[in-house]
Amino acid sequence: MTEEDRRVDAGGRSRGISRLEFLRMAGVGAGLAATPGFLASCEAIYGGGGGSSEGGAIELFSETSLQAPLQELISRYRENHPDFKVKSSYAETDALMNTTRTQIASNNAPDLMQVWPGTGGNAMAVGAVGPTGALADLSDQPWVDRIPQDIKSLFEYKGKTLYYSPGRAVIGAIYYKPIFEDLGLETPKTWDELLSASEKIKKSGKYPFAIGNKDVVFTQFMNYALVPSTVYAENPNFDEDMARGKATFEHSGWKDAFEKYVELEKRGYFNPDSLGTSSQEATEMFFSGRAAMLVTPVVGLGDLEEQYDAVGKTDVFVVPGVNDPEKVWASAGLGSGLGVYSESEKVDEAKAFIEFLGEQENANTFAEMLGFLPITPNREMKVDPFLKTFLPYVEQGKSIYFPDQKWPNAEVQQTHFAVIQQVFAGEITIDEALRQMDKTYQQG
Amino acid sequence: MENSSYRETGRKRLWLPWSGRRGARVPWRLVIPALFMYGLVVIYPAISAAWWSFTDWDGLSPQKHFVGLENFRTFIHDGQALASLKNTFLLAITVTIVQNAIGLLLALGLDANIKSRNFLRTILFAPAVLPPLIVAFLWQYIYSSEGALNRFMAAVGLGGLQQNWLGDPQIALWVVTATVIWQFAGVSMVIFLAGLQGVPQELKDAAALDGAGAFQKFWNVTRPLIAPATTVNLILSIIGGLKLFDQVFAMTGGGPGYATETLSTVIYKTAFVSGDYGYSTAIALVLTVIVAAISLVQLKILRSQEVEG
Repeated sequence: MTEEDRRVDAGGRSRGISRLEFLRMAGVGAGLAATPGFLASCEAIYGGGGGSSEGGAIELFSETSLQAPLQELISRYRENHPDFKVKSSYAETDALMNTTRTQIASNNAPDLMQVWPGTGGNAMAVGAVGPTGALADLSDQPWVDRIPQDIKSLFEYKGKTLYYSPGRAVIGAIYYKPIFEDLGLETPKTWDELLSASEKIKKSGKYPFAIGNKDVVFTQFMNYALVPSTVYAENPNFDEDMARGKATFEHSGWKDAFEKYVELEKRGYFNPDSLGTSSQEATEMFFSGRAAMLVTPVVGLGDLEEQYDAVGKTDVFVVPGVNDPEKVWASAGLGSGLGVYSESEKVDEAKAFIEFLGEQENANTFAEMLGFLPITPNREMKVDPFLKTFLPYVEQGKSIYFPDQKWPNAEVQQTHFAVIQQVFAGEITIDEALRQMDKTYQQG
Repeated sequence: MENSSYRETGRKRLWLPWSGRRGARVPWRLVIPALFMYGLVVIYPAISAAWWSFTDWDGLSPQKHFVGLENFRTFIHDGQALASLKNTFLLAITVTIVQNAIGLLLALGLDANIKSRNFLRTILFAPAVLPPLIVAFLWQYIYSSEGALNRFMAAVGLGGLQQNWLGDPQIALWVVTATVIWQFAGVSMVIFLAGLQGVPQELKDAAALDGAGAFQKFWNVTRPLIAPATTVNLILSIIGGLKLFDQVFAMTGGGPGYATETLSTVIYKTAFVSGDYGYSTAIALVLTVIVAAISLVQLKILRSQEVEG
């Protein structure tokens, strides 16, 4: 008798497997077999009941944040296309990317999938998916002609437009108005004014900045808010120069941005232990009025005000990275959007829906509901009040996409995250940090 | 005495309650569904991953180009991966030693005939049944700069010992390690308790009659007899420590910088963030070989020290 052919109860008695246990085991097996069903956090079918495939529905897979505007626009599209059916699934970013990549690799991608701009931001960027041929060419759609030249390449791989973006997201300094008003502060227009305001806030016993650098994604926001002024205002072609090997992070305005980031910390303008503070804690610190500024993407700020019972208490300004107000540029990156699976049997229907999204009225709705600036500023658009500060910068060409959107691989961004933490931990110098970024960039 | 539910016949037999017969042979076909599922979700992916480790696959393209040992050469020269290897060893060794030492002390304490032992056993084992991610998020709040730990220290007059627990690269790895130990010391305790209950009381009594003190009784009687439990505990904890992912990822994400990066977090980031599946699976293969080698050596040494009870 061996362990394989018996089970022993606590009293040392052998016993066989019971029917109930067998059924339980079968249940676990069935549960495991059904596991892929959990990958999408929620799923809905618009325009018809029953299963999607049998009903000929288009499959759409995107981030949960796109759910509300997409639902609205699908409903609007169905008014003139009653036969249009969509089986939509939504998931959080990591799950979405991993699942979609696996689906592409197994030739089973959704008809409409979420894609990110440019080359370097992440593994589902146009530059990463484009080479596989999995994205259909959208170049002949009318909205493509309205894309401003300075961001056109972020939609493309080898000259073909491969995805649709609903708009631009901005990174700026959200400030707590009661603190500024109590101290008689104006929103700073230059770097020195920012330092001066921070000093007064510090002396009042508040933290000038709420920083949650334990979460790597948070670490980048300050640099992304500074480099438009310290790098791109001087050289709008910096990324092209980097690609040609004519520029480096180490010998550019990136060093200035990094030094300013560190200067803020050295002057005591951050909350204590910022490396051990999460972005959630930093956000709570700001909305509770203990910190005066929070540098972050300005998306859904109105909802956050309501969530933290701070309605009307916040506003936004562009982070002035330099002392010449004329050379202050804003950070306005292209948002993720939708691409069409080139191998889809419904590629024409999917492309028709994208064309519908690209119509100005619908593009405005999409951007408005997401809290983005429309790709092309226009008279009909309703701009989120918090974004109005950024609009003149975009219209005057004094804004730049997020830097990682032109980096050659996703690894540079990972290095950027890590070296910021290392610099603030005192493990490496700014020069070493930038050299590491250059090295990763040059790996292509 | 014949067992009420099982009849020993010298051949492998199992009583199937619904068959109405005792000692019926189990048809081998019954294992086919299980083998199929195992092959599908374990064997096939494992073999595929081993193959990918010799390719440059990006996880997207249908093409995978054979690159020989290139990924392994990259690993040897990858400072970040090697640093994560060092972290992985530090974490695994510390978890193995401290978790089992605490587990053994708890087991010895709760093996005594004290009134609340069942309650204490339940309480001490409870963290082990929580999902590691939940535990990590919970402790993340406790360790935060304004969290419960720092506030408690300030309240009891130990404000000078307050730390930036997860933000200081000098201590972050040890803080994560402490969390893992907190969660799983109860598991070691339960396994040691099972071993302790197999130690005959008469042997301990005999040792006491021979004049052995508490430590001598433990060292010369109890310790050898709980060697099988020790083997199980050490193997489980070293394997768990070497492939630790959830707690590190949730508490620090591998940071600050690379201070708490382990091989598992590097594998995840390389595959799912950087999209370099070939290199990622190569690191995974290295980890598999390390885990297998250490476990086998450990098992061989520990088994040689086990004695019959």
